[in-house]
Amino acid sequence: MSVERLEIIKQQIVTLSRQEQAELSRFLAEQMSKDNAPPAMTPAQSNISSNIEVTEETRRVRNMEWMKANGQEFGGQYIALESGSLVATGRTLRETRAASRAAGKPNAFITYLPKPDEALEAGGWL
Amino acid sequence: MSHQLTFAQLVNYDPGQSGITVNVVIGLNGARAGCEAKIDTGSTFCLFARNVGEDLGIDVESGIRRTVGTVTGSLAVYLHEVNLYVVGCSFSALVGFAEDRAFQRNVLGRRGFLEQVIFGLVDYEGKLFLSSYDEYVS
Repeated sequence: MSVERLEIIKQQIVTLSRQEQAELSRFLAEQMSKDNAPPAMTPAQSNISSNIEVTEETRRVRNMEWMKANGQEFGGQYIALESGSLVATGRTLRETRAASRAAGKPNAFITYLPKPDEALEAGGWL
Repeated sequence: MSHQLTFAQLVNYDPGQSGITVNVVIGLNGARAGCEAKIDTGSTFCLFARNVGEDLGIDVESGIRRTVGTVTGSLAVYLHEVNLYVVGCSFSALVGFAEDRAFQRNVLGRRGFLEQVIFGLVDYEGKLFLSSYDEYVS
């Protein structure tokens, strides 16, 4: 595969949603595990897989750092993060997702962030 | 007045087992770890045994530490962002891994799981119906 074609594929991958990227990553991992022989993996396949993982890991680490640093200020509500940057906040997942989409970040990671002193509830199994 | 929902997935679980138990795969950076988890509407977050996180290569205690109140006291957990795969549905979620290695239960709670799915249950027949919310509305 040419370098140009690989770059086009990479650019297309970046536009996928996180779920789609995870699905692609899983597909590539399955393809490589089927071969079960690292020498059979082309450099292009290796690059695609490792680039997805590096991008995903960098994004995740930045989100985790943001949540750790801002739990006091933003705890007790939903937050939408894009690679360690706050995109939106809200009282519910629905509200926050709508705000995130309105901000042009439909694929932001959205979660409820508990306050540092908030006691989380356990259900019947704990 | 009747209401109708359509689901993408159907799971037949054993109604004779304690709890509604499903298979879960947690993914992170290409690594995956599988376990069984009980669906728990009363649990704020999805919680997993520490070894599940460690199997994924997570430094569990590098996460966001929070306390979960239980019937018998409290439990420290560390929250991490992961990918959850449950019965054909996948989503990103902040989930907790127990600090105490002796804690060996896994639960799928409200934040991160129930809020992201359409969920139907016929416990009499051991049938669980599921769709991701995104799939449901698209």
